[in-house]
Formats: sequence, structure tokens, C-alpha cells
Amino acid sequence: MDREPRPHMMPPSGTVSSSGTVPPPRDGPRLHVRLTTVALDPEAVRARVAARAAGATVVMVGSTRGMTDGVETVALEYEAHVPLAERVLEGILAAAVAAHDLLGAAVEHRLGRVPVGVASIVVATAAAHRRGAFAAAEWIVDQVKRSVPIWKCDEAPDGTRQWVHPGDLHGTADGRPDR
Amino acid sequence: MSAAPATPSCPPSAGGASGKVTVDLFAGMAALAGCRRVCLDWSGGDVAALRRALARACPAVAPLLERSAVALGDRYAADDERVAEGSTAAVIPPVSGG
Repeated sequence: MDREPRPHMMPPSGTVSSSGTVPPPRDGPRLHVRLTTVALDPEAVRARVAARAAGATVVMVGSTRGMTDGVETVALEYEAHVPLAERVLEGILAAAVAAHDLLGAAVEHRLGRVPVGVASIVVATAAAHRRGAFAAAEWIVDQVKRSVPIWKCDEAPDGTRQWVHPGDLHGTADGRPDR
Repeated sequence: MSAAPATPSCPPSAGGASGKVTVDLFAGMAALAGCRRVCLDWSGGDVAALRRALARACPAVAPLLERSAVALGDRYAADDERVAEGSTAAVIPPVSGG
């Protein structure tokens, strides 16, 4: 079996994308995307969207759940098609900014093994008012689950592992052709 | 995980070879194939033809392949898009991030 790591899957350096921050226009919305094998820092992600004009900032932290429908999980392992995932994530954030008049939007997602209780995703949004920030954060998470090429492998207490592939085809938030 | 004997896996360095196309596999798709990268004989064709070639070379992936997208570089590709000889494609099974 070929298990040699490839640069776009799991680099040893930790941070997969050091250039994931999208340069904003002057005084424009701040966008930030990062896939990483190191622990996520919600406060650092919040800081990525900080803006003087913001009246509301929402930070959503998703973590590995220890029990789902009576089935125990000890950890999730994530992998991604990193270049494609970054491109799709950037498209999602840009769409969220446009739809909700955001001042900033950021998403960081873990790769590698994430034990129960540890953060696997952090989404942050900033807006002048709370409704847009809340709505955008929820929409971004929905789109990540629907269309970003990231996969989780469920690890059970007995060591068995199972990749999770939902029944529905992923969506077209990035404009890809629908199949 | 047991490797299917007929799966034409190849090393990362094999990408770009003439008369070949390289297909990167992820997550459950890689588990089914028993490898993360497959090299197929290729003289040109579209994404749909690539799907058929992969399913012939590695029948174990066929059911999940039906529910998967194909990417060329950093973008998704439609079934009628051309796949150049020597290029690298990726199969994107249904996602489960977040």
C-alpha cells in the first residue's frame, strides 16, 4: 500500500497552508482560511475577523463528539484534498460576506487525529449587527459539511476505523458542475 | 484493509508519464482500493471515460465512485471535460468535514 504522504494531504510541518489568508482590499472584509494539523485556537481565529465597525462577532467551535446515536467514538481522523478544499472554502467565505454584509469571515479546520472534546473546526464571522453574523456562521458550517473535500474517519473504542461518506452528493457552493 | 491485487497503484513520482493518467484517491476510496494513487493507461478522453477506466482497473471502488466527483487540479470537473495524457486527477467521495 502506498502510504507515502503527499504535500497536499498531510505535510509534516503542521500548517498546511501558510498562505490561506485572503488578502483583502483596503478596508474590505477580512477573509481567512487554514487547514492545519495543529490544535485550533478559537481566539486567534476570532482575531482574524476583528474590525472596528463590528458590533457582533460569532465564533463557532465544532469538536469531536464522543457519542452519536448510542455509538461511542474515541477520535476522528481528518484528511483533505487541500488545494481544492482551500479554493472551495475561499468561495464559501466570499459568498457569505456578500450575502450577509460581513466585515470578516474565517474558517480553520483540523487535519489528522482529533480526540473527543478537541476542536476540529472554528468558524468566525464579524458584522455590524448580530443577525448577519449568526446566520453567516451557521451557513458557512453547513457549506463546509456539504461541499468541502474534507473527510473524517471514525475511530471506535475497539480500534476499528470507518470513513464517513454521507449518502448525498456534495453540493455546488464553489460552482462546480452538479452531478 | 486488504489491497486488491489488480489495483494498478503507482508511486507519486509516476505522475506526468506519457500514455498514463494518475488518479489520487482519498478517505474511503483509498481504503477500498488499497492504495492512495492509481496509474492508468491513458491515451486521452473525458472524465466519464476516466471513471470507467478506474472502475475497470479497481472494481472495489465502483459503487463509491458512482457517488463521487472528480477534480482536475484545484477545481471540480464535469464528466465531459477532457483529461490530458500525463495529467493527475482526484476522486472526491462524498465529504464529511466539519
